[in-house]
Amino acid sequence: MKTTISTLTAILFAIQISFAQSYTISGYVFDAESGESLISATIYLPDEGEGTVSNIYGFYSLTHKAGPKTLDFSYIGYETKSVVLDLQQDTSFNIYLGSSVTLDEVEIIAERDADAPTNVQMSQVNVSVAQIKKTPMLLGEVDVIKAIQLLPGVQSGSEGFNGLYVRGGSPDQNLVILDGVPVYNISHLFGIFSVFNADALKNVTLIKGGFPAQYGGRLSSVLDIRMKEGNLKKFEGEGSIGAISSKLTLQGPIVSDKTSFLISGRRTYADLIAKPFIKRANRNNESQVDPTLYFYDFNAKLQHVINDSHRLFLSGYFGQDKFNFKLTEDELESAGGINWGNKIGALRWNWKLSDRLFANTTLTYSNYDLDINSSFKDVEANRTTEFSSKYISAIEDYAARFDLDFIPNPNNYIKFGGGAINHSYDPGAITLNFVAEQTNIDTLLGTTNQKSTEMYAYLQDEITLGKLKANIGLHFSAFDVDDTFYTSLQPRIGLRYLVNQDLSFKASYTQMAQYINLLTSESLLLPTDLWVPSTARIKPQTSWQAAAGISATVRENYNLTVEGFYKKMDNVLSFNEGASFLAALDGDWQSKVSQGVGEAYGAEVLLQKKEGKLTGWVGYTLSWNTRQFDNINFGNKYPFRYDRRHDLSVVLSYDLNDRISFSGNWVYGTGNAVTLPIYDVPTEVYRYGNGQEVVGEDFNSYSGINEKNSFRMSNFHRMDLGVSFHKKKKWGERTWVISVYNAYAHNNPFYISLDTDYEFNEVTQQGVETRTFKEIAILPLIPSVAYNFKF
Amino acid sequence: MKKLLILLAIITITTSCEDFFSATKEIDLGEFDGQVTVVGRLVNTDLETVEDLNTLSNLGVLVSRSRSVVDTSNFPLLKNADVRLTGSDGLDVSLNYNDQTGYYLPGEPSTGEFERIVVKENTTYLLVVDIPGEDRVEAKCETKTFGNIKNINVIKEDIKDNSSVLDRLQIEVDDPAGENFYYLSVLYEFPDGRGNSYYNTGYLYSVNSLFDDSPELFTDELFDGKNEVLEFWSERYLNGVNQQGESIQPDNVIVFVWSLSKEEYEFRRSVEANYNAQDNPFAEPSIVFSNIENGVGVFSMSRIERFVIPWE
Repeated sequence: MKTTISTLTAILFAIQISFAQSYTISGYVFDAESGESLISATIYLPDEGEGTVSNIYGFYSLTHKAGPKTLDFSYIGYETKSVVLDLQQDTSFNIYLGSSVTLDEVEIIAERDADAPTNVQMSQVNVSVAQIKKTPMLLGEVDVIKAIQLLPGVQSGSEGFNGLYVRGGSPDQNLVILDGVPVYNISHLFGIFSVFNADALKNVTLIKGGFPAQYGGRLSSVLDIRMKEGNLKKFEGEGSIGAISSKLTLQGPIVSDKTSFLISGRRTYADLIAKPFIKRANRNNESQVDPTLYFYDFNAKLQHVINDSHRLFLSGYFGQDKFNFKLTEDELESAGGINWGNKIGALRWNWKLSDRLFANTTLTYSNYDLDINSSFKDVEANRTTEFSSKYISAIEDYAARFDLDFIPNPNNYIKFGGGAINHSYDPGAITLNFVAEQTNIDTLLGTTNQKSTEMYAYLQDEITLGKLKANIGLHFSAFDVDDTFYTSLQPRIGLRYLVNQDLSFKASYTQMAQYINLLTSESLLLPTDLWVPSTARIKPQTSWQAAAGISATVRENYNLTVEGFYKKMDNVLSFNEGASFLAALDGDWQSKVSQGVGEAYGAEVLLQKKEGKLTGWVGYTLSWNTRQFDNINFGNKYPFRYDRRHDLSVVLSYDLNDRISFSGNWVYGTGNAVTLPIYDVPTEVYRYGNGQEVVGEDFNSYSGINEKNSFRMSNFHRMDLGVSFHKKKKWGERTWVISVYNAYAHNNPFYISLDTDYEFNEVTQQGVETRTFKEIAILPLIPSVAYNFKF
Repeated sequence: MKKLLILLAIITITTSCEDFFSATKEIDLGEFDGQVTVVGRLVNTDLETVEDLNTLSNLGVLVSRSRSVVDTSNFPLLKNADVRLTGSDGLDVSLNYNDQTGYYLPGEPSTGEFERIVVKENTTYLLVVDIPGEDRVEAKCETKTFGNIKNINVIKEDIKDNSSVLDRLQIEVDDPAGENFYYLSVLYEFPDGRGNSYYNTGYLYSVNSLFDDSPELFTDELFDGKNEVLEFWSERYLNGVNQQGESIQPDNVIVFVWSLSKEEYEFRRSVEANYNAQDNPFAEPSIVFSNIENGVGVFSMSRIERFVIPWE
């Protein structure tokens, strides 16, 4: 290891020879109050017009010619700090930025941020956790995923649920990572809430295209969510008591400026509230129902600063959903339920090898498992019949990753690294146990465990050539499953031409490959969806995406981005017609799926204001999104279910003063594309008679579909409103949040149902059957109240 | 707190509207013009096989009209059509409407002149339906080289339960090169004690899974051009006991091996998928195969072979 690092250092030293008269300024950028590292803080040399940003660990490095320098350190919502120094040798120091927001002073000084025109990265949006917390949400539960759904290029799927469809991609094509660890199921309560507790989070970044080379393994997006590291300076806490859940987050130093902890927990309690009422309703019934429906989750993190060069982080997440019932009636007892949850853990080691070289080593664990169980027991006349079944499905990862940032000079920012992931899948198996008179069956059906290994390496350099900046990278990945070995070399190119500090043109081209797939219904994401690997028969999904656009700063505080994109996806997966998640039970899920082609293109506009009394964004997407499979829709191309021609989101919050703030969202979107059976076709006739003549006939028939997803639900629109009342207390701060979801109670269709009604006609003395298609909305106006506190 | 409650009340009141809690909205699909429906899934009737078929839909052609899914009236039978079946092997048969059955049948079935049809391999068949006042409706179907069944073996009572047993069925097929489609059905022939027989269906399962919905319908994708022994479970319900207290055993197992045209395979597969999707909100919707020009439905030709395996 030591030899490798020495060799590496020698090579890197050679690269910087041409900058021999230059010296390096390096260190970390921290929040002054908590000691949290600040991601993408700007370090700028105003005299030279050059600068850099801190990486995701807060580390920065800037190499420049010797001489007197002025460095401005800035970060959104923080006071800018200027440092003047005479650069005559490599210099290392950490910067602590103080928040510019206090309850007494709401005026915020505008700063540039990482989404600004100067940044080479395009198709990336950083959403501050503070903004997410201000956004009114369903049942008042702050939700990262629902906030992300409001961004251009992201379709929400079914209203009120946590589907993420980014630039025409499927949900499995999103790499959702929490502290660098993939999260395989992002939903609680069947998708109504996400697994991310905003109080424990520091940073949320969505990348929809122009993917930097360090990311891989998914086709459509990277949602990089970072947990807070824990306050190194002082003990603090925050929490919330809401309509459906409560949560509490505590953090503080174990050893001041050395070791910190963070722990955060959340639980819903609808079941606890409902239980007494259900018991009361049941008291006169023979049958007794005992339901359980809740979720809980915990986030925890330990941070230890060994010295200025070494830092260790240990973080974890554990969440579980439980949805069970028990029914008792006479001697019959039946029970059933569905339980699912994620467990993830990460051990991270930051190592500042030199002023220009920063290493990060991560060991991670991720597990998602699901079980569906049912049982009954019937005790009758000394005869007992028992049946139980359990459906299980899981994916488990062990992974290691090594990343290096090398900043030899202001014109090059090199990143390279690699890693390996060991995947283990249990894509659906069922255990059955049946005990009755003379019978005892105990069997296991379904697919057995399968393993695969995914490996990758990457290299990228962000090169500055005057006004032109390029991020050139290569991502190599390989996948070993059974006796099949896949490889993929993926070029990644990002370009930026800076017209002036307020305007730039950007373009990108990226290729991606994906080796693990989610077998899911198009209509709804469910915890029962199965993660399965690419196999000899199921080829890896691949894509390429090209995007171009402009990024501009308008009137100081407004960032405007306009982008056009085209994405082609190969080997995308879909269940065959008529198949569903039970496909895995027959031992060969591969025969129940098809691989085909996906295509998406469109334009996105995002006008964002991150500072001032009024903050938020307006996002608009115009897009087309299709799929084509040889075995589906008779090989004809059809619109993807979430092909949405127009999608508009307005997300605003306004701080009236230090005591009251308002927030609101308005969303509008083209209706989802759905498949409707619109005609009946007879296939067989049975004529019957009275022995002499035919008196009637019955038909067998099927309901016909013209084209898949050829019908559009009504367009949807919705307004959510919220108002927050802040008050400073002796012990800290409290906030009452009142919000209304779907404030004008618009019936946004969730699904379409064919209803059949029977009426008895008194005249003809016959029953009359009528059928109508109805759009069903499930989320009317929903008010909520939450009490938040912070100390 | 009082102010908050007042504010909440104001929001609720101001957002009221007449359909505030009405969460449904009717959809008007517009006018629907029914298409001529032709369903002709014909099989060879040159063997006694025909007598074992329990459906008329494989003997004749149904000519009707599709209707809107919200229309609850009965399907109309179009009785005045001119229906003709021709084949590249020289087959040329008129099918005539039979009011007893509602189907167009080959020959003159009303007079007992029922015309037998031989379904040959590598033959192109054409079905033409002319209805006064309508565009000509026609469909084409091609048969390929049929697979050759070399041997069928039944392993009795491989798995036994209280009410039924699973017999293991082994079918050796010599599959010709190229795409082929098969369908299997099984009957158990029991003595009724009065010198006649009665039949029970054997329900087929994949030997790999109890959850494969239709193992009886399959392609040669995994054994194209090879000699292969295919295995299935056939579920046989136990039909009581004889005077000695032993289970009544069948006299014969009758196995029908259908060599399907691609059209018949696609129709069977897609109809089954369509039915599966109807009551399952999580299943992908399925479009039913149609090869009818100027109409909807299916025209297919299949050959059935019948194998009688005595129960030893």
